[in-house]
Amino acid sequence: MNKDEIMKKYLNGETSLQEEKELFENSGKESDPWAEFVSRNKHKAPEGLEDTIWDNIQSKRKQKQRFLYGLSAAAASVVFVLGFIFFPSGNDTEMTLSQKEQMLQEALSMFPEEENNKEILYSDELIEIYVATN
Amino acid sequence: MNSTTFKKTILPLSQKIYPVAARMLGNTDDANDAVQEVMLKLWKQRNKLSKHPNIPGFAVLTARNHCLDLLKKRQIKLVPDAIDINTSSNLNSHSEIEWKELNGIIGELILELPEQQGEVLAMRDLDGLEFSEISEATGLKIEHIRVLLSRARKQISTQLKKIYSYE
Repeated sequence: MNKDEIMKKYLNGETSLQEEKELFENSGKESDPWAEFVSRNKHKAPEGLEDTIWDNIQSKRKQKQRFLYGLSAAAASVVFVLGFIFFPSGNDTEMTLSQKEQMLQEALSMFPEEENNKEILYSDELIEIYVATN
Repeated sequence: MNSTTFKKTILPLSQKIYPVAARMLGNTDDANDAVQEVMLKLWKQRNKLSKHPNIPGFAVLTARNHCLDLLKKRQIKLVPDAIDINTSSNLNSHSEIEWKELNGIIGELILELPEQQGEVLAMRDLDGLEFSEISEATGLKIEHIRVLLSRARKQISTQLKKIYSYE
């Protein structure tokens, strides 16, 4: 395809980016003001831009992770403290064997002694008739 | 999308969106900052992004919208217009003076175009974007973009022929 044909395609908006690149490269910048304008106004990303962006993203990511770790630690501390307040240590409520023995004796002492000296006259599933003897 | 895939597929798009940001914002420092912020936005959306049918186009759209927001803020803050780095360069030589004149003339011609024509022309010829990317960024259909581009190129070509045939 000659230059005039490509130029016609270009003006009709039918050229590919590659064809446009070749068209501008082959145009004499001095003789084609548009080619010079395009060439001098094209911006190219500076070298190392991607690395800078990636470092920035990683830095933000680490900051976020540190914040989340801090938040988790604070939440865990709150749960720990609340646990102490609402669920005190089990050792305080657990009775020793001697305490249990003492409680049993106390309970037994509540029954009157005469119940141990009773003479049963009648007994079924519902009632029990007895005579107490002193 | 994991970080390795992001680094391989999305990060290189910064090369594509940099020219858009530099053209719209008018200076390289702002363009650098804008591209970094756009890439950070894309990083945050990386899981949704993997399902997008036109990722480069979406990146251009995000960059364009980000730059438009920045330009709106500039207007509110009454910050002076961006300095065109190409016209503020050393004007000692004759060719630089000629270049400044040419840049001014063509800049005016582009500003005289209908807004959509001017934007499509800049995105294609200056930013080097594919039609599918321009379509995603502007919301216009590809056939409509070709028509706008053709009208803009023909208009600029006709005007330049008129101006330079008298010299």
